[in-house]
Amino acid sequence: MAITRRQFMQGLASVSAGAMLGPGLLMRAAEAAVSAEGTWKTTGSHWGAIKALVKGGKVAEIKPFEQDKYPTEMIKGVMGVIYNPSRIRYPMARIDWLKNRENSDRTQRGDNRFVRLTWDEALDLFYEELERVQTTHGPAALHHSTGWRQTGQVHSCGNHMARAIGMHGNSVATIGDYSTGAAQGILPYVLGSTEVYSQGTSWPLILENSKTIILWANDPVKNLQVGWNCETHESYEYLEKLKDKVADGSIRVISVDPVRSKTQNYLGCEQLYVNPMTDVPFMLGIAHTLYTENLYDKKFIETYALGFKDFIDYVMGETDDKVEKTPAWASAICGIEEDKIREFARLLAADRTQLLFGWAVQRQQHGEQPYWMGAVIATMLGQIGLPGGGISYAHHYSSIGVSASGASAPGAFPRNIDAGKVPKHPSTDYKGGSSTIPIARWIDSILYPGEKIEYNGSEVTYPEIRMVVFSGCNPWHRHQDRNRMKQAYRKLETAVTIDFTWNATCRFSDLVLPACTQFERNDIDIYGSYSNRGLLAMHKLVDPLFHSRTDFDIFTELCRRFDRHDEYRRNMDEGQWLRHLYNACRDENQKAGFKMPEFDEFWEAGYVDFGAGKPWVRHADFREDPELNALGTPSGFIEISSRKIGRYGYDDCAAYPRWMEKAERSHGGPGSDKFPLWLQSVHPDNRLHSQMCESEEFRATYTVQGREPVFMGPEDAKARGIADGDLVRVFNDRGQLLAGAVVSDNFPPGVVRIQEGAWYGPEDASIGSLDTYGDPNTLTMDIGTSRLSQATSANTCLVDMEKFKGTAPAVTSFGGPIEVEV
Amino acid sequence: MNADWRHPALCNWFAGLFAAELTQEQLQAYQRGEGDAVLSSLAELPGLADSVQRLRNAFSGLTLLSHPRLELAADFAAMFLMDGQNSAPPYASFYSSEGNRFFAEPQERMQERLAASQQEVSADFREPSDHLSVMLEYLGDGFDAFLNTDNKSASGPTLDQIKTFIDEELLNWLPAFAARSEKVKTVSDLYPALAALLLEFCKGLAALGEAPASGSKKAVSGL
Repeated sequence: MAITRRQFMQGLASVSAGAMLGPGLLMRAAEAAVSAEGTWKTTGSHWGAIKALVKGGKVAEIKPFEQDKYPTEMIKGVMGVIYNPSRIRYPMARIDWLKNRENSDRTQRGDNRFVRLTWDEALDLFYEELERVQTTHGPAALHHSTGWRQTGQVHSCGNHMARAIGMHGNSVATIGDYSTGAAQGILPYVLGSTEVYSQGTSWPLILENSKTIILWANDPVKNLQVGWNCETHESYEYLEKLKDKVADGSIRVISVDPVRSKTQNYLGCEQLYVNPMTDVPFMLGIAHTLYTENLYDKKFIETYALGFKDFIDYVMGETDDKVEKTPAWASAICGIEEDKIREFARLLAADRTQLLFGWAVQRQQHGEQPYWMGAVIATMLGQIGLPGGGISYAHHYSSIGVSASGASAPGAFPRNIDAGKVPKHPSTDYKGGSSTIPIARWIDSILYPGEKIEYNGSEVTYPEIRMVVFSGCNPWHRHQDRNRMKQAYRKLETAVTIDFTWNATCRFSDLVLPACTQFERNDIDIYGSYSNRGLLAMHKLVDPLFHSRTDFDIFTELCRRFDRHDEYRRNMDEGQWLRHLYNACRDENQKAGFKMPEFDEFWEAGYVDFGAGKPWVRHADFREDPELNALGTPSGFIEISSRKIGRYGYDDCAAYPRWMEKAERSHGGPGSDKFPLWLQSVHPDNRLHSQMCESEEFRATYTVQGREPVFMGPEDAKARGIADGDLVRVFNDRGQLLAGAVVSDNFPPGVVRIQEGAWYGPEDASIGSLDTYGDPNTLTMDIGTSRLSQATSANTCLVDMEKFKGTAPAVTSFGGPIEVEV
Repeated sequence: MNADWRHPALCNWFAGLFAAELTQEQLQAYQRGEGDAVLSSLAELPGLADSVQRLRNAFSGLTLLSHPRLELAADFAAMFLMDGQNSAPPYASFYSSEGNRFFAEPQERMQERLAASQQEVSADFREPSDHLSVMLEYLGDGFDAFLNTDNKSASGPTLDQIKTFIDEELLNWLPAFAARSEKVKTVSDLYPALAALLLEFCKGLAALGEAPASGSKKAVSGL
């Protein structure tokens, strides 16, 4: 019998009653004037400032900011980030964790289903977990971290997370970072500051005064595409001039690198090949030549440095090892002919030489040593503090070397709890664990709570971390050894991630909260992290997509759960914070003579320019008066040898720079008989670390068969029957991955490259599972550089590879859980 | 077959099921058989009997689960809420654009359609206008307007316009959506069965004939 309309409607009413959404997904539209042509808006990013055409509530087109003369291709990937099909659209919880919370089946992490929550449910759960952990275990059980976050001073997500969680209770803090941990450990002892995040000698002075520039494992053309704040790309103007000077022979540039870098190819400069991880023997050979040929600056050393004798005794074989570090000795290790080592040393000493170091050589076991040795050579050359001389550790980063305007940058939403306030849970009882650990050791801390390690002259006891929170951070990209991470995550009770696209960090979490992208909120940023060239308005391009929210909103609502939300946001909303930060910056700059308009005028214009700065020489003040302008070292002088470090008694970082063999090393080093290839995981050419890897159309411009490229030289490819474009399995005892072969003459035998930041996508959640996309940290080693810094050793990594046979598994990196047990 | 009162109501029924997870109350209503009239009504439509039976079987199978609402919610998430890699995102843009991007041309067209009828997506729903549920509700409204428009007022869409919308805006991606739905790992067959049923339902709508009473109509509000 046919169903009557009445029966039907009754049934429909029954099964619709109590639905989450009331009837009617459509509503009468509010009147709004819509311009058919759209509106061009200004905003900024790590990739530079951009103009975006917004039409009908959508970003229709993106082009570079007018003032950016050297925009990066990466801005083509921005729309693929905003409208990515793997955007996190709703708050989500892992189902088994939702059922069983801290007693959930943790082996299912990365492999478990999720369910949608309302924001209220999700934030209640987040808060309940913070409460449970603080009241049951105390601050030792909680760790939170951020990374390269999105740009913007009001919404900087790490500040929001740290402030909100800090107002609730204490937690395990970290020190250092994954980029420059060893540098941050050693250079304060040697040169008095970390050097890596400090302004450097201005490019015009380098171009004017240097006769020789040494790019030591340094690829600025690749790395200057991105910046910590909104990148200006002003350095490229100087690199262009340097290219002309290389061509006309007025400056000699030598790239000391196993690989022919993008910068070398751009400049058309020379290369000096060195075996991977053997820079220190090469440098000791240089020091030996400078010393024995009397090419070093004794007066400079006497005036500005301490500890030369202890060091030179080591070079001359008069200390414990009784090995003289002759060029012949060095040559056998570093692969550079001994005469070339001498020739190179003489060249450095012959005229004004600027040493420009990249960061890769300190991201290896004993990474402190090459940086210390670099400073020692620069000291022996006696040119520190002279224009176009001395040493820099940062000219490849955030346009360091572009003169600072002198203007003040805006402040930011505060990271810390306000002065005089105490957290809801004020306990500082870490139950015998340390309150701060080296950042690269957090997985160790989860795996081995209670274990003690030495670190920078102190002892660290690993706290028992049970809950982690990450925002603006992808630890499943930046940390080493994925299979070890999987083991650690099986011990964690709760993992919370705030992000905007599904990645491995989200998949391995229990609670995933959708933040909006930076293009969905209003903000301001400095234009030029170190040049402070101007102030940029970051206009919201579109409203937060789906159910995503700003970090400001997310953490305000979290704080509402313990009634501290007004204190958290200081009773100001986004618009008020924008004006507050702008006006404070304006007041500061007016004192210094930098005129800034009223906020509304600035916001309309989108930018205020502070003008170019004046050239400046790093350490010139120290050179001028080392007593008055003493360095921040224990002695105030350059410390060629460090008594303080010597007193620590570390066998992996002694009182002066030394050569130490690595746990594994290619080109005849330990382990090279089994895994003969050195894997370098440099900063990527087409991403900012892991940011923008998800942007599909842009990713397709550099992938090979949909996989991350593995770069290799023709000899290694031929020996394994690998052709350009093949799928390759790269492996060692720690893991395995699939990547796409790119065969290039830029790479010598025994050296392969997979750029870090490739998103992890294992076939399944099991230990040892094949990574389907090509994340190099599937293969890297999770050990500290030394007892001094306990920093990442990612570039100490040997692998082998083979042409992949069979049916390649689908890439799993760019989405939610894959091998779901149902 | 002609369009009748069932078609807009069923469009709205589908829209509700694809818009959000079933609540405990809704699930219990189905398990008490209170959805039988709707399912039987669907089964009366040409060619849908098998698809409806599959859905009935899926509802019956829920009794085997210890946490049926939660498991269904996880199925719903796996099917529709997760990512572009493994799930079946319920957005026309995903199936129509290069790079499977969201907010592509189909969303722009839906936005224009809604604007033309002075409508927008409800603030609570916060989904793009090419979300399947929005499109189905819009379609249901179109049927309503068509059925409720007499010969003289000429304010509703024509059946041809409705069928064009179904052909060009729904049937151009629903087969791919239903195919992806079959591949998602789920505990219950309910949502894959629902996606398959929707596809058959829409095919049936596209084959509807003019109802004798409707006469000729002129354009057009909405569709």
